[in-house]
Amino acid sequence: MRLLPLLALATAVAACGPTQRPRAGGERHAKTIVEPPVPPGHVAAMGPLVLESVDVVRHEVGWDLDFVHATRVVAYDVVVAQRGAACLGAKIAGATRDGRGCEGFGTFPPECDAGPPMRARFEVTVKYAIDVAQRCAGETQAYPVRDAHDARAELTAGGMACFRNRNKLRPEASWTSVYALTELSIGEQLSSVTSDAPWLLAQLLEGAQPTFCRDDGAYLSGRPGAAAGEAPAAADQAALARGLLARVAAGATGSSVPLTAGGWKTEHDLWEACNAPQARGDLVAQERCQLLRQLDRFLTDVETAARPETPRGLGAPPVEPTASASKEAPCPSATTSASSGRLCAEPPGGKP
Amino acid sequence: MRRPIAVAWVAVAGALATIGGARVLASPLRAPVEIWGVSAADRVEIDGAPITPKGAGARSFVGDPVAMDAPVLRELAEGPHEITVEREGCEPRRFTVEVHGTLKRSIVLSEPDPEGCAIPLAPPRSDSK
Repeated sequence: MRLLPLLALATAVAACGPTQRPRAGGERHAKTIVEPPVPPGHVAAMGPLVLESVDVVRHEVGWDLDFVHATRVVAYDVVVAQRGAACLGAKIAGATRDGRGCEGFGTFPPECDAGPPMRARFEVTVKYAIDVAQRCAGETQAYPVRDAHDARAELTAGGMACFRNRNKLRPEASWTSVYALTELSIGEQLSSVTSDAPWLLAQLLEGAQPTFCRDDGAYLSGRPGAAAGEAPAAADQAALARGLLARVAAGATGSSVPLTAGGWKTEHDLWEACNAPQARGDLVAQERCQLLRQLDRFLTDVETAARPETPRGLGAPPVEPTASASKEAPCPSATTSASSGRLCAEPPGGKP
Repeated sequence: MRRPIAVAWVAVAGALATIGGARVLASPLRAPVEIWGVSAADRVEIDGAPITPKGAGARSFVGDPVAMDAPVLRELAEGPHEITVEREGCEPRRFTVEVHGTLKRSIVLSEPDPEGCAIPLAPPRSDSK
């Protein structure tokens, strides 16, 4: 009887605690694949694993360190099929073993009755590291970034010094914008390929030998076909990423905009490349260009901060901005530079 | 009598200030995360909290997309976050997004293939079979 109040209290506490409702999606690998039944007098046999489709299901992009390091993620769905068969007799000749040690038939012999294909999906996540460096146009050294958590202060200092030094004592109407003075080097490298079955996927993408088992030594259904343990080393990650890329629908991932291939380009030129119709229709280019647009807004702030600190030279009065201004037009004022964003470039006379 | 009360009051105020300061110092960076390619009919969860994607006004990720046009826009603290997306007729998708820095991070989900998206993940090896 004495325990009753305690029991009631415990029940009340449990009821008030976080509810353990089933998570959306349930657990991974929740569903099973049923192999075809094997009638008496028959043995089960497996056909080769076949790559049915590769689809991009998700793209992601964002900075790891603002304006310096970013990550681009591409997630793939890879659908793999395999047929099981019931073969008449106790032992069927002609089976082969794959690199994982699993037995199967590249083509079923006549005494086998193949069932419908079983299908399962593998998820592959490919990550690319994007590195961005900035420098003052024509200089050899990039702006140093020593702060591993926030590069804004150092990049702002570099950009402001560049703007001041290149424009000081020149008439304000002929100042070169920070977009034209900032050169960028943007590179993208494969960072990682994550999958439950990298060896299998590499085998299927190469398409060389018939493969009957997954990396864990089981057939597609999960039934063991070889001893559990480590799979043979998969092909290198770059080959796997390239193989997946080659399998997806054409036009989805072919653009290199706005990468600079190891060289340097002005932010202004890269912006123009991002706004070309071809780039605007390419998702990967648009993702990378989103990083550039964020950087562009940062440069707008840099120029706004640098203008009041830049000594003005004598010259013609500021030119009023016109609707027909081209990218060669000088930058008449901070307002014009910031609002139009794109119209201020090298002055007709070139850099000082 | 006034002095002990005053001392106690100062001590309490100091403790509160310390707690407040610690909270300010401990407040993590936050960055917007936008999810494109989902509709109001889809179920989205971030770290277990359900979110209803925007229907009207939501757009697709083309050109120079504005974050406010994204079907899902949330500000998340720095670090990993688990996102689950359930679409009608498809296997649920769960993935982790790593939030860093202060600028927006974009996730673009592809239009689901009605056949392919319903195919389950490969089951685990079953030594009992």
